[in-house]
Amino acid sequence: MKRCRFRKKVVEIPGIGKVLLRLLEKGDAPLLVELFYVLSPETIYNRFLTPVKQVDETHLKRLVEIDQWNEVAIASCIHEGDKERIIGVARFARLENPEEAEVAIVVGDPWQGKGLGSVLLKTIGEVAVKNGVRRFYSTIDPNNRRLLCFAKRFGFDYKCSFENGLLRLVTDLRSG
Amino acid sequence: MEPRPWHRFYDEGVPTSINYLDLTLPQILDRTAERYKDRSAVLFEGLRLTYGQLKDAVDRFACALQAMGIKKGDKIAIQLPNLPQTIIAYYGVLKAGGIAVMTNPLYVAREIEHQFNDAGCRACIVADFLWMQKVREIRDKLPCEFYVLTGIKDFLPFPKNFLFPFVAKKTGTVVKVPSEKGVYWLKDLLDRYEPNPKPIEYDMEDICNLQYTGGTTGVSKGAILTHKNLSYNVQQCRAWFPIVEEGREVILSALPFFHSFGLTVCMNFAILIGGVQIPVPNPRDIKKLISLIQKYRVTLFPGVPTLFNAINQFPGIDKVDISSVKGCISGSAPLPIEVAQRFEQLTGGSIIEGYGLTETSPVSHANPLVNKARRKIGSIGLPMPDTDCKIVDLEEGTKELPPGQDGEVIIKGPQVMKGYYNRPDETAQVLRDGWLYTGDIGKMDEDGYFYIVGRKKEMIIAGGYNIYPREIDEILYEHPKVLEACAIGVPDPHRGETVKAFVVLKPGESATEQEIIEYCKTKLAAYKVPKMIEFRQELPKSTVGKVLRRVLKEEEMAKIKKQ
Repeated sequence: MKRCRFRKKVVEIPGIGKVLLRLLEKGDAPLLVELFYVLSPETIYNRFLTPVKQVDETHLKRLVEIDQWNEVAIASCIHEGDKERIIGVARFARLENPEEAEVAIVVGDPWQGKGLGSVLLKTIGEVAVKNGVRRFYSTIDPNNRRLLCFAKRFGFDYKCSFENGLLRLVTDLRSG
Repeated sequence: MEPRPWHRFYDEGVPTSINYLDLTLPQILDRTAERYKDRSAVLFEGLRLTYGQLKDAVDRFACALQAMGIKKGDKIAIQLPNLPQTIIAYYGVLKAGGIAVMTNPLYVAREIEHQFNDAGCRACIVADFLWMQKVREIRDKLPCEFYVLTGIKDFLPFPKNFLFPFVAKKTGTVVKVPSEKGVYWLKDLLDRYEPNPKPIEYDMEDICNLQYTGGTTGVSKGAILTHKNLSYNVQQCRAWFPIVEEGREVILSALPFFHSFGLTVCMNFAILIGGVQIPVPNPRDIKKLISLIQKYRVTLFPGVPTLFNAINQFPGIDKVDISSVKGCISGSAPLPIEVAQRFEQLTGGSIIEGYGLTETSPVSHANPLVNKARRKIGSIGLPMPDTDCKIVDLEEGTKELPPGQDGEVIIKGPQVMKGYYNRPDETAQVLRDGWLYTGDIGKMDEDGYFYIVGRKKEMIIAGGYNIYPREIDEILYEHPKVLEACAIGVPDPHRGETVKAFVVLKPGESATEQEIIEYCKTKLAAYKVPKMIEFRQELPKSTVGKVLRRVLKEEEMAKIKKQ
């Protein structure tokens, strides 16, 4: 079975310190739950587009039990003593056309605004291109101006359209 | 103001810039009362109040409030349906130096608690039946030091005041109120105090209203509207209607006064032009509305599309003479062309679509009223005098886009609010260099007409009310049996749209549709409560786990098509 290759790496992020980037694993479920509970209601809404209050087992399973080919997720981790902690996740999931994928990123509120989102987006973009994905889609809350500016700064060439108050971004990775 | 493309299409006699009267709303009332002392100001169920009497009542109430310790800048909630007392309460609060916090009478305990505490209301003027049904039981949780009550019948002449309890018994608006500390009656206060309140030194930039508006985040916030905002906006509306004859118009005040639209285009507009207004507490009673138009020969009728449509559809409307109506402004939702045409055919008057937000006091755009050839169907019209409007890019909001291109609608003008009360972050998001970022997506054509093409916020419009699905979702998620929830708007023949919610229960739980609806009724004003609940095993989600409200909506639309 095909699997994306990704060599884990450590990056230094000012204001956070050393951050390990690695593929998300099945056993990471408890760490994702831990991350969920430091997310503010706004961050939760922006990630899931619903004000969900608790982690649902079935949904959690779907988030961690992925084949790392059709669906790829990269976790960013720090160490607190001996304990590893996930502070952000970037993922893509291929659509019907395997060269297209939906992308999503979440960074825990205490670590936002320090550049981790950019690192995650850049990394997931590189992994996607290396593994044959040519286009990213994302549906976001258009009031999330921070994300919009971020996407633009990142050099993504995107078009947008509105559906039911949400904004659909299309990013051509070839030009990125 | 610099020339703008839309100025060429203004009606004849409408200025591009106005020489405003620097008067606060109570000063405008004083001015009108001086001019038209003996003319009717309010007609209600046999009651007739002249401008002289209205001013007298307002002055007495202001005097009472000051005697009870109200000082300049104190916030006072007003939770009343459209009644003569609402006008007295509103102008009385302002004249005493207070800031009005208009509150929807349909609000339930949770919503009242949030709004009164957020604003820090020192007092509240409330209908007696709302006091008994909702406010009294949460008194301990509210910051108000005292309450002023009024009953619908309080101002009715004999024998209507005597008969009212029998007629209104079934509506739940007749109540027995136990006397208790800190609770007063408006009628008693008007009897007890003289009409000589201490004059207040106003600055036009002082706060007049904290006007609460729902938000995409599910929590309502108070738009800070100054005396200048509200006074200038009603003067802008006046300038837009060159056909108005001062001291001679009859205005049907069917839009709720607690909402900025009804406040400005009904209550304040009538007072500015010295017209007589007919407050309508229940505009859903279409038969009554039609009879009022007929009886009082109503000339101006601000409304919402669902209201005009309901009149169009009323059995036998062809045989009723409602030809006195000469001007209507429709807001809050797009006005379908067939609704406008039919209503104009019935009345012989003009109906125009306008646009605005609570944050713009509220009117910012309207189609020309007089020259029908200058109206554009589907357009919200032209910016009002002294109002600038641009379409800008969505990302930064700094690049102005050329005609025909979609972007965010931003507005600048004397009616734009000062910000959201105690919410600097949210204020900074929407106000930049005096420009209000509306969150609506629109475009401008070559002539300077504006069109709304989408929204940056998910919204359901039911019977003229804006409902944010996220607020309903939040409430549903708080239910102990609910795992996931998603509310959408579905078409409704009467309300335009109505709310349907999809619910996923937690494993092992069971619930009925009625149980969820009843729960929502305790937490949400009636118009926000879902009318239908559909239980699902799961909600449709995208590949990365985002909930797809759009898919639920498409499924509903497909179902309707099949029927």
